[in-house]
Amino acid sequence: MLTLTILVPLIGALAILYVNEDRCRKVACVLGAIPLLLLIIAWIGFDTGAGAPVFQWVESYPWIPSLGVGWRMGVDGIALAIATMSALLFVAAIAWPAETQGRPRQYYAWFLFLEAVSLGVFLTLDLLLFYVFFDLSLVGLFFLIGRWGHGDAQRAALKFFVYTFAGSLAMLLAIIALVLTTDPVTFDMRELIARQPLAGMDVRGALVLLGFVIGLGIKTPFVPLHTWLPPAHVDAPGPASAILAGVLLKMGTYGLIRIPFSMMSATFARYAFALGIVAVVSILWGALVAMAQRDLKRRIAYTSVNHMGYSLLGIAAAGALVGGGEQAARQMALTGATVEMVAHGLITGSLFLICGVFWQRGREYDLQTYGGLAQVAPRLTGFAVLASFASLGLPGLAGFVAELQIFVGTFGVYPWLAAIGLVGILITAALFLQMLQQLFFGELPARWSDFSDLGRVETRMLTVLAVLVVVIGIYPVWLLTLINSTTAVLTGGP
Amino acid sequence: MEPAVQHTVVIWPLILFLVAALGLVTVMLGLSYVLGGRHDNRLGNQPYESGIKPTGSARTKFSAKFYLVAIIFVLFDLEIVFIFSWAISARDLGWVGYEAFLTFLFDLTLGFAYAWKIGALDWSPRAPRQLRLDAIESNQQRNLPSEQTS
Amino acid sequence: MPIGDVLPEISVLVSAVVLLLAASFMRQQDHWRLAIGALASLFAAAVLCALQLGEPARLTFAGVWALDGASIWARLLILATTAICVALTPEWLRSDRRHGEYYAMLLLAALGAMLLAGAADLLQLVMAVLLSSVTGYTLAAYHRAWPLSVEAGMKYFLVGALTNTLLMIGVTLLFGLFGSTDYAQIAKAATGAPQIMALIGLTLVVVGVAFKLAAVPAHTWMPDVSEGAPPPAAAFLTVAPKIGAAIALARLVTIFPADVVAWRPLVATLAVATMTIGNLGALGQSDVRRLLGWSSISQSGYALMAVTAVGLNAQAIPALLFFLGAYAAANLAAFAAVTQLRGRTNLADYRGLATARPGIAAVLVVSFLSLVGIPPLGGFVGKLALFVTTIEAGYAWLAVIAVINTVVSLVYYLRVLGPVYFGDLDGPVPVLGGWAQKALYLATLLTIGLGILAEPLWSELGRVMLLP
Repeated sequence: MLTLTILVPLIGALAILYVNEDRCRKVACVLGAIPLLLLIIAWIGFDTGAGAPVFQWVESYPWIPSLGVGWRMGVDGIALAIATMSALLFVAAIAWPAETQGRPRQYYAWFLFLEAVSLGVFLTLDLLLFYVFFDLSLVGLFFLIGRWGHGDAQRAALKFFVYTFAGSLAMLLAIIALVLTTDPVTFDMRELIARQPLAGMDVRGALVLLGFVIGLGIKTPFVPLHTWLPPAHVDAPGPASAILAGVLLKMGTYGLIRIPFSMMSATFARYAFALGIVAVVSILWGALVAMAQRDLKRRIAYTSVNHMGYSLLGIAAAGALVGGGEQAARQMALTGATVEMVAHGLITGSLFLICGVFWQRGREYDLQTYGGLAQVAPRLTGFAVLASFASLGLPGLAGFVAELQIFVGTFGVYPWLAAIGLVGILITAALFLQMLQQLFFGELPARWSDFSDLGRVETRMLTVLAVLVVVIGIYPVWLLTLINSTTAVLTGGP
Repeated sequence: MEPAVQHTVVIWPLILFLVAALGLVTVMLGLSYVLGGRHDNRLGNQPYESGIKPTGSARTKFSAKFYLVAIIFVLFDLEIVFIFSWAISARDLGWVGYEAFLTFLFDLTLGFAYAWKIGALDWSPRAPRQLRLDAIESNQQRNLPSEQTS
Repeated sequence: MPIGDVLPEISVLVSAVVLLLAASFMRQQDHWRLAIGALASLFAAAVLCALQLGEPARLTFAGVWALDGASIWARLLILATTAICVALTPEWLRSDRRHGEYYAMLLLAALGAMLLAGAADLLQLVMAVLLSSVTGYTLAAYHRAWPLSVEAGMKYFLVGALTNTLLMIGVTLLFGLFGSTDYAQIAKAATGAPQIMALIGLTLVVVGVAFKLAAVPAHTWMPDVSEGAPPPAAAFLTVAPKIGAAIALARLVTIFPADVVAWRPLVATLAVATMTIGNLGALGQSDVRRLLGWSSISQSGYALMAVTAVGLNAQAIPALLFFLGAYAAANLAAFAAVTQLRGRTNLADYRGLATARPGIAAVLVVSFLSLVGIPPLGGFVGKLALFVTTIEAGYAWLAVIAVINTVVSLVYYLRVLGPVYFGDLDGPVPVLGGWAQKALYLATLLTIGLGILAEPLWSELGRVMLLP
């Protein structure tokens, strides 16, 4: 079934090239929604009880058996949660009324392709296949940014591709070095997790970890590897930006949990504190730089750096000790990190879609030129306010659930880091409030007097995302049960 | 066959040879430089110190055909070397050698036929064949693929 | 004489002669029929070659000719490459007076490359290099009315003449040191050799082979040839001799024990220099054919990584062969696209190609991404195999440098793909059509197929061994 989740959009991407241009979007929506349905079914069928296998819905077919590579699919709670969120975000991004610049077929084909490979990253259980999908997601986004972006889109796309490709190659080397320690060679993640092949190899372990951290860190991104992110975001079309922030960034943190955290936990634990410091630096740096931005999209892009920092902090705290010590706190941190990924996907996804609204209507991202939009666009204002509050961590919304667990969990392991990290939340709150005030309140400049409010489809899509953000904020049990079933195992709990 | 390898290769003859070769050249050039007379004046540098000034260039144009013919000559002349070496041992090689040699000659004949056919042996530049070829070539230049015309 | 062991070569040679004679007796308009003949003879040779796969690996003809997995697969690869290049040709040379002779020349050049792959004797190696070079010069300068083509042939010839001489000197030195030109004999004698002299001799020979491989220091002809030679010939010259030369080099260096003659650092240095210089050269190019030439140099550098690791683990030769196969498919696809576009070479002329010719644009994407090593294309599996074998051999630093180079290479490939997809079209885009188009799509399918269906070939190559 997971295979189908990837194949449907992949084949759909080819098929849509032969669909009538007028019906492209509808067909793409249907095709894009099928994976979401399948994943929801998988979620319902997922066994969260104690003693249930970690990986479920497993499928396995040989691909290059002599290299130990296979088409291996399967999910645990973390992967399922993130994949489902991604599929939802893809449906929203595809349905979003975009400017396809006269080439709707190619536009939707690339989106479906990107959906297939992004889900592939989260659903695969084969390390090489993980890399394959990881790389292909770059190709998909390269074309989306370069072709349908604005401003200096080609340059941004090139920078994005080259920068992140460098990261993924560093990861490839790490993967090879990791896998070569097994005999016979296998890329099966379950095998690798069970064997912990690098245990007891200090230097090699550290180098492999470095490769993974650089590779996944560029994608996440954390300071100082984040410089590709702002241009890519600013010049990308709104929906692609939402996917970039909502889905692609998660590959970094998800990969950290899936690979170094699980497969080389001893090495990871040794360097967890350093990662924690990097996380705190990212949190503060992202927040401070975001505050200094006048460009709406740039500002939100930097808050992504900040939010992924929280997630990284949770992961670092969770991996700090091997075995039973502080298990409850570490599990909480890891659960928080995962919820942060889901929440950030939904929230920042909507924020970037909202940015797309501004570009479509005003061709302008400069905050200073806007003002008083609440009068002409009440619905837009509502959604923007909700998303911003969720992003800054208002209780009752999804961001709060995540950040609370991360910080509570981290306090149990690295109290000082958690304390410093908290400052980031304050700054974020300030910068979002200031942004909202600038955009929606105050004097309405004359040039925006005919600024049109959200359309029907836009409203619907944002409503779905917003409802989820609220539901996770108020009643997160259904999500936490799923995630906890896996994090408990990963942190060595019962 | 015994691999006649001497592991303690003696290098000094090689070096001696190198030194001798370089030395000879140096000595010859050096001596003539030291001993030779100098006539570094305008008259002395003329081709004929006394006499009529030469006109025109000493280099005259030859038809490229000369080179082609010369090369073909060298190619087919070299077969003599092989024929000779076969001839002196023809009895020892027997019929196998004879067959092998006939194959060799046959190959050469093929080459000869090819050279003849493409007009490499046509001496006169105005032979009808050449005119035809020229016509095709100029035609070809008009129809060369895009990058050469654009 | 075990004539049966060289039947593929004989078949190629005989058909080359037949084609040559036929070409001089046929009307120029009918020369395209000779392409069919060339394809048929290549197919026959490939069948004969494949029949040898079942036999045990051995040396024949008194030890000068290696019949092992490496040479058989390399020769099959060369034959396939040549077949695609033949298919690219008929439309391109339609109006050329010497159209028919081209096929004979191509077959002889392929023969030279095949001889390289099987050479197990220094003199055999020299013969192979010379045959492959002499025919190569002619192919490069085939448009003799076009200055760039003649210039390419001339540069190719000058570099070739120099390196061929160095090769001869090296062979003489080695012969003098070891008393034999036979690889097996040299291997026996090499353990007690004077190291410096042997290394000097080997280095000279390696330079001679590097010329065929377009590796540093004898790489300079490559950009000119790929720009000036007729694109079908450029496609051939950037691929086929390399396949033979890479195997020849691997076979040559392994006869020396690495602890006596330090050839591993030598080859590793060449690998680093080649990939780096190739990539740096490609970065600034605004001419697509030149860019492909430089990129082809850098790809030779990657191939040398596997040569560095030969003998340290069993995967080196399979990795080398697989990489060469994937490279051949991708590079042929790229040059086929150039051919199909009637030799269009200025980067600015590629703007908006995706609008006018989406098929060719897609081919460029596939072939370039495969050359970079983006999964799941053939180039990815090839590079993966290279990295695996290099890291396993303890040359992780080499893999790291290759990775950095790969990132750099992505920049210039994207510099072509960017305009193709994001630029605006100006003017019509005429294409060649016919056979060239079919060859184009065949090469592209091979590029994709080598990645997705890598297993059969990979497991087959896993059994390959290298003599002596």
